[in-house]
Amino acid sequence: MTVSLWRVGIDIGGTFTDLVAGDTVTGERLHLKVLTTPGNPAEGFLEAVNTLKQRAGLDAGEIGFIFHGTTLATNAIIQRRVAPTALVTTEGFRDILEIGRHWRTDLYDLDLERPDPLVGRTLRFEVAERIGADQEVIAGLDAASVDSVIEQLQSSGVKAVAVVLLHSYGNPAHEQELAERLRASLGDVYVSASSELTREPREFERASTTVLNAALMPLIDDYLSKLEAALGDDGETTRLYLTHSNGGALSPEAARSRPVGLAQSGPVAGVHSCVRIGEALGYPNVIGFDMGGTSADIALIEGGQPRLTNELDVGGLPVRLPSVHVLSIGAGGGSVAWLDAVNALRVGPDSAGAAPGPACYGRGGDRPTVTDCNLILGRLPAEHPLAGFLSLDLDAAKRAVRTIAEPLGLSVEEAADGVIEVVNAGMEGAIRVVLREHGNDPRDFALVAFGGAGALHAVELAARLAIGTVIVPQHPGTFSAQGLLASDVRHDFGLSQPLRSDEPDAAAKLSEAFGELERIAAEQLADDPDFARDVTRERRCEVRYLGQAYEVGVPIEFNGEVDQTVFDRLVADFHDQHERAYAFANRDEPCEIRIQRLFVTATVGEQLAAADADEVGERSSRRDRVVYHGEELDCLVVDRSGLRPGDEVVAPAVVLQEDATTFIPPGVRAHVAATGDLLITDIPPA
Amino acid sequence: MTTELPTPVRDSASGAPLADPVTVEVVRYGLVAAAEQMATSIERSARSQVIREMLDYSTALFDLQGGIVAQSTRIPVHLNSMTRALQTMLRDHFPLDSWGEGDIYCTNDPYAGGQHLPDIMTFSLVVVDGEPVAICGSLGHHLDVGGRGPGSYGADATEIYQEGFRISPCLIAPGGELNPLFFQLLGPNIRVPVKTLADLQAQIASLDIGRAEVLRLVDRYGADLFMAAMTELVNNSEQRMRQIIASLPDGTFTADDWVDGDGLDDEPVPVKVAIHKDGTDLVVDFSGTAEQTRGPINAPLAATESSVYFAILSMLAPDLSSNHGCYKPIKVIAPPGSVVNPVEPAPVVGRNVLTHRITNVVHAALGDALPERAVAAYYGNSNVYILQAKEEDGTPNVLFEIEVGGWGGRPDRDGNECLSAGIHNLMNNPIELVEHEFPLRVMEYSLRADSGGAGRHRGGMGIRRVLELLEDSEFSSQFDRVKFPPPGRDGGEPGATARISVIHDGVETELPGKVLAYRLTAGDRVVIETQGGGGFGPPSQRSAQAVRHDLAEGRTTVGAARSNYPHVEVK
Repeated sequence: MTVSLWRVGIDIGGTFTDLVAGDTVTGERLHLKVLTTPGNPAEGFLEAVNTLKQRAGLDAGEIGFIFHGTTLATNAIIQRRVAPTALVTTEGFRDILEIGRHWRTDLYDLDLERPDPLVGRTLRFEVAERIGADQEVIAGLDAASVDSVIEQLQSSGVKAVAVVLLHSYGNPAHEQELAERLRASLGDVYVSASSELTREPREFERASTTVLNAALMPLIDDYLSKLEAALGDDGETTRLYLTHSNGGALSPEAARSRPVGLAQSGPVAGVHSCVRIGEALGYPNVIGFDMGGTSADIALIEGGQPRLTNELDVGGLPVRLPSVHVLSIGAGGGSVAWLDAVNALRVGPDSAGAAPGPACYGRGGDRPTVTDCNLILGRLPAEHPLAGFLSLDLDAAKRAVRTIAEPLGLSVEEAADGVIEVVNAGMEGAIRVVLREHGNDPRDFALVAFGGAGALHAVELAARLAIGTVIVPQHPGTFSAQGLLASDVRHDFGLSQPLRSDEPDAAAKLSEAFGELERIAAEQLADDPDFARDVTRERRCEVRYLGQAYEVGVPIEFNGEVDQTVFDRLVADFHDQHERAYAFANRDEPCEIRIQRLFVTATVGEQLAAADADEVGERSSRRDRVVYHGEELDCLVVDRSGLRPGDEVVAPAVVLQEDATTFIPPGVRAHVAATGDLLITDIPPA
Repeated sequence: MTTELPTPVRDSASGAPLADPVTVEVVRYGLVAAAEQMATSIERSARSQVIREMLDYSTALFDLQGGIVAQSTRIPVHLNSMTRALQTMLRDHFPLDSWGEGDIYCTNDPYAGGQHLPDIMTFSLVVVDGEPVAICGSLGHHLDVGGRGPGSYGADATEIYQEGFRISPCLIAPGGELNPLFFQLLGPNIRVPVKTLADLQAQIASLDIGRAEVLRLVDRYGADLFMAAMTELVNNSEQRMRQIIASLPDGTFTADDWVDGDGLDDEPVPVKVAIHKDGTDLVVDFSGTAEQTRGPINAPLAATESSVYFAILSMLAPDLSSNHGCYKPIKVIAPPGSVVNPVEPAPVVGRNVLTHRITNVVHAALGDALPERAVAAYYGNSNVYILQAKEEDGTPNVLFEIEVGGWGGRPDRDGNECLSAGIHNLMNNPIELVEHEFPLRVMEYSLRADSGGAGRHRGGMGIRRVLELLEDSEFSSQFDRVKFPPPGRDGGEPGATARISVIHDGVETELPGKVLAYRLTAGDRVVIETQGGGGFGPPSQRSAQAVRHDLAEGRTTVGAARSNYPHVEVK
């Protein structure tokens, strides 16, 4: 018997649980979908695994690794469905969680409500102690106040406790002593201390992150136990990992103690896939563009690395851990086009969603949507059922679009064209702003289009951004789950040891800081078998001019020690990046290195070879009409399944497949790569 | 008096609008994205906490007449605030045909359309093929521009000459090359020049970003279509604003309120407004408001107008795409020489005392016209305080803070606790950073019990902050509503007044709201308590459940609950 070892990716979405599996010996791939079981997602997970075993004829022991992306933590935070949680702070500061940064998210809305702080005031406790800004102990941890808090916690019924003391990022002694006391006294109550999660100042953001972590611990522990039970005997040989917001994977042990790391787990899978497809096709800089029914998710990958942000917000609550930056825009196929009171044309943010859905779904929707417009323009062919089963009603789409066309004195086609233009302009603006935050120029990127609507808009959006290349993956519908297959295990370590570039021995001090990070990493990873073997290290410094609030993340590479040459390079790179981002740099001015970061990555198991293109089906194509910028053009309509590597698709064209449709406007080139992915190139800037 | 609805730009031959609705909307997205990118670049690269944490800056794009077309507003009091300065500059100082490509113009002069001296504005023209198409502008509130008080808050200033370095409209960078004289003159006149000059640099650099973004739009649509689209955008907003105004009942709606005093003369300052609604116009008349004060709380006309615009937009049209079209139907009557339109050389640095009160009275008056949108008064002041200590080398170390308070109760719910409201919007400074940068220790930062005005829907809570000084320092402040609390509405009680006190050697002394350079010694404590919002509706109608919830959470005390809500049994 040939021993095969499968790697499996499972992505649980709102409707479907997607599974992608690959045999590391033969390279065979398998894609499947089962319905998500929202009440207990572990059931859908298990069904997907069982279906795989059946279809591939696998025995227990042949599934080596399962990588799992889940929106469980995100949804729990947004819906505030978490266990009763308490917060313990330094005396005088129990309200920092509620006061927050006291700025409002909308300037004009008098009905605004501030987000619920997750821990009510009766469950926020204080202990007497104080550590100063220079890490010195000003008042020791008062034993009597600790006893009193423990007593109150014991009768409070909470399942989890977050511990956040002032200045613990610099001196965690009190916080750790307190956490130990709580763990010893509170039995099965989960305890999370801020210094175990992050070592960066800003008390509110650290408190928010820690409270979310504590509140998620019971939920995630329970979920992982269910998954482990569901895997049963397979669990002995199958190693399970969860997708971390930072783009790496977390072992179940790590996920149990740091579940807030799952806050962005869902969209990260798709970002992974973008990294891999960029690698396979030779595009290290890509923008992931995942457009669905209600929203479009945008992610940046530069030099093969997803852009991280330290400013993740979930359900209005900040999470200050490095996370893959995914920007969600309220623009999707279901976005509704409307006229305001003075007949100005607007699109969104209202969405017809899946129910009633666009007018053309024939499910009672009568407002014109982006999907209706794509149908009218011939970019979604009427006779090709959506997702294989949903027939589209062109007349209903026209009726809906006529309601905005007539008051504007436009034909239905002109109005539809306009709606597409407006929705694309909205996405363009949002992408430009996010690129500016990171100091990037869109022209250096390729666009990867996935999700149901991504490939319909991608080429025109790329043109607006002066992006020359669009990649449409072979399987846009299960693209996210594919990325999970290649997951690595990754841990981030950060330290705040501020130092100025002009201080004496700056290079040596930076060297020491990285030495300290190595010690912290070694201690935390000592018992982790994944890190017993070869690991890769990346290091980064967060650098700014004195007095700035935001740092620029500058990579630093060295072996052994940071010498003066390495240090000077870091400083020069900082000035360069600053100039690119904000249009100026002060090269004579010293800068400040605020935070040092170490990312340790270990690969687990055998990696899969890049997938070959699918076996091809029958070639099938015909001619049809498509409307493009007011002109009716003759265009090619072709089935994706019949395309072979090397095939050219002559623009304009519409490429059909079950889970996505690609529109290739005139004036560009398109061909099928050896990987089976569709490459659209030579896109002229609009 | 009824004004004709604006006519859109139309092609003389066909009569069709030159800019179609699609291009108009697409250009709007492009302009907003341009202003946002300018703002992002300032926020990310600025040095002083005023800009980076308090977000006290704005960026905007203007048409060639100086009318605002798109703005990234981080703070409402900046709404349309650059317009008056830019238009004054174009009219009285530098007509458009004297502007060259890349030139950067600058001013902070409250008597040339500005608001107060710390707000420095910079402008630059976008030129395509030798033809001007638009103007970019950025405004930053700078940490210090000199004058008699740190942060340029001279609470006892009686003339603008004492308030800092005044920049009359001038060309600071011909062709984009910064004239070194400008920084040479400014630098020695201000505290902490390193941070301020660096922030100015970030502000100036953002103009380049704005210009590049506008150029891209012009490249795509052509200058004529781009400019026609801007005109159409403005016309659309004006037309929409007029429709909304038309839907209000005809009549005159009045309100009045008080400012504690100007910090010098302890005289209450009355603020009165009468809003006449006639057809599609609103006339906002401040006749009867106090004469300009000796102390620096006067609001220059630009500040008064911005707060009127904000108060009206937030009540009537929170979602309207905001540009100068929205403001055309609104006429502000502010008698010259009054506290809402002072004449030179009245001091103005504390103009936010007035702009908040203007917002309070306009909200109150419009509440009578539109009862379902009415709100009780929010805390109503930018509670500024400034601490100054000396660094080891003798240079000043300045900490600038603004505290907020509670929102007013609303027809269907309580006011928010301790959240930015009205004409400003800002972040607090993280305590862990403040303690690094200034020799003090924060001992308490909490919600202030019983501060929300009682009512069917109570006002939100103010805050309580206790500071301990680690070194000798000076304390200055610009508080208001220390005497006159935020009023309730429809039978609701007023919120708590603000309070500042100092504890020295165990003895607590209450300070007035506005003080300059009060001496503190190491070990002293400063206790700051901010205003709660006014209550909405009679307290007797508050539900027992809501009262008990507040009690359980310590948001109200047993004594206060018993006296405010006798209908609820309290254990």
